Amino acid sequence: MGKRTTRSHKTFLLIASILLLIFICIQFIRPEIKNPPVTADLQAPVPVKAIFQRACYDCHSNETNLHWFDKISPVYWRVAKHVETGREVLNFSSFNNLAPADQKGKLWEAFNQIALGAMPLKDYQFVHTSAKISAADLAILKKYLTEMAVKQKPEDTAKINALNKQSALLQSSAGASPLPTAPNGVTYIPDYKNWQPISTTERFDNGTMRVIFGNDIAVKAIKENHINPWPNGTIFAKVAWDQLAGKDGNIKTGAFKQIEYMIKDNKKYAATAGWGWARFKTPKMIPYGKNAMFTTECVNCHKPVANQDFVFTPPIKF
Amino acid sequence: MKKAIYLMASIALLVTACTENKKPADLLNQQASLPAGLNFSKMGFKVINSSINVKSNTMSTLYGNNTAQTNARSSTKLRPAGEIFALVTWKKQPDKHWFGANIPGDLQSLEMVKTTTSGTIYQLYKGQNLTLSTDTSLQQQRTRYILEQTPSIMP
Ligand code: HEC
Ligand code: HEC
Repeated sequence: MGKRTTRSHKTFLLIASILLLIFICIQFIRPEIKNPPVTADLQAPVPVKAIFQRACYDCHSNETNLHWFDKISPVYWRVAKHVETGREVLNFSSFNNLAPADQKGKLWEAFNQIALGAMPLKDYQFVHTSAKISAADLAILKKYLTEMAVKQKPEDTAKINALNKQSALLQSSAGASPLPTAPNGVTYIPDYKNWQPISTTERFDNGTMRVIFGNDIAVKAIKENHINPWPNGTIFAKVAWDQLAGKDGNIKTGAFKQIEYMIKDNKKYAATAGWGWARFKTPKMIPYGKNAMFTTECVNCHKPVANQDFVFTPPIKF
Repeated sequence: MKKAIYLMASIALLVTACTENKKPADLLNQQASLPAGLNFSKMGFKVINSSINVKSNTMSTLYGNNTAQTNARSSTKLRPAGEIFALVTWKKQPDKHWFGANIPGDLQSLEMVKTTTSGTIYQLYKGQNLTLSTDTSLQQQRTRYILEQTPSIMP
């Protein structure tokens, strides 16, 4: 009896010391997290900036400030990865280098990632309790954004001219030149205008309005309530225009800004959340993205709605 | 200890990430949907434009049949018989998933304008069930408004 206890005790000690040894060894496997200089830090009112500094700067700036418990491997590896990708997609330390419109866009996106519970990352927030965003914080951010929202000027001549220029151009050039293709191989689909709109959007964050078209497969899926996940072959086309305010303040579509596609194919596009993404800008249909990695941006922003197959729009039945 | 918590949290997160997707019925925009019996999507309409009425807090989409759409797009403003326009209007509602966006809320009305050889016909359907309205007071004004619409640029 006593002998057996000592033996199992010994085995336990042996295993424990092996584990300890492994644990100590892995502490030396350390991806480095450097803090490069801050070149163009976010410019925002102090209370607004303080929220981002407290809850986001560990992963989205060059001022990463890790606690001792973040620095223990293997946890540390996960943290290092988060900091690396976090900085890649959004870095507040070089934020002011972005074009003003892009800065605004990122701030609205940041707010919505927080509001939808996607940021700060859940496991991080669990241990870094100080990173929690309170209702009061959200209210501060919301007020800041609301003041920043694009206000529409009635009969804005610059916008009217842009629209007229586009109309004239389209009237004169009904040519069928080769269709443009995005860096990930998705080609522009001109037939979208014959599809059903499944919804429309007024975007007061960036002063645009949109119509979201769905192809036949999408419309059928809506009719039959098979929309989570959407069937392969579903295509959405989202068209965005400038808002153009009339004399009475009512808003029409102005110049065409861009068209975006999402093409469902859970095998072909498995690496990008099951959708083929593409964006073409201006009536010239200039493909967006330097290389195929542009889809990261699309997927990341659509990620908070991953539980509805990455689709934001609640479709309307027609 | 904290390390253990972080690890456990990561695992918990992985588990919750795999939880069930939302049900399709909750994902539809029911309040904005058109009555099922109408079969609007089978009427062969295409989008002409989209607009927002600030004062009445509504948003609208204008449709047309092929004749209407072609004429609205061409620069010669012909008005032959056989055009059908349909203007669907919704109350706006904030998008639950995106602060910064408004989307269609309660269905408010459907207005139809048809051009015939003996003039135009205007019909107004109101409410969630789109019941035909007998109110003709704004008929002329609305007909003119709808026929004057310019199409959105769709290259
Ligand atoms: C623990 C690290 C971490 C923290 C803290 C964190 N993020 Fe993130 N964030 C990431 C990572 C990693 C990504 C890349 C996408 C993903 O994995 O979801 C990301 C992606 C994003 C994106 C998408 C960027 C794009 O365009 O691709 C936004 C916006 C964002 N975070 C905002 C925030 C905000 C706002 C906060 C603070 C409230 C915050 N994040 C806190 C790690 C973090
Ligand atoms: C900053 C966040 C953000 C980014 C980045 C983004 N989207 Fe979206 N996308 C949205 C939102 C919000 C909606 C729904 C609201 C609307 O209609 O604008 C949406 C809607 C869509 C839709 C209509 C279907 C749906 O999900 O509702 C398509 C198609 C689409 N996006 C394509 C793209 C493509 C392609 C890219 C990348 C080139 C992209 N998006 C990048 C936020 C984003």
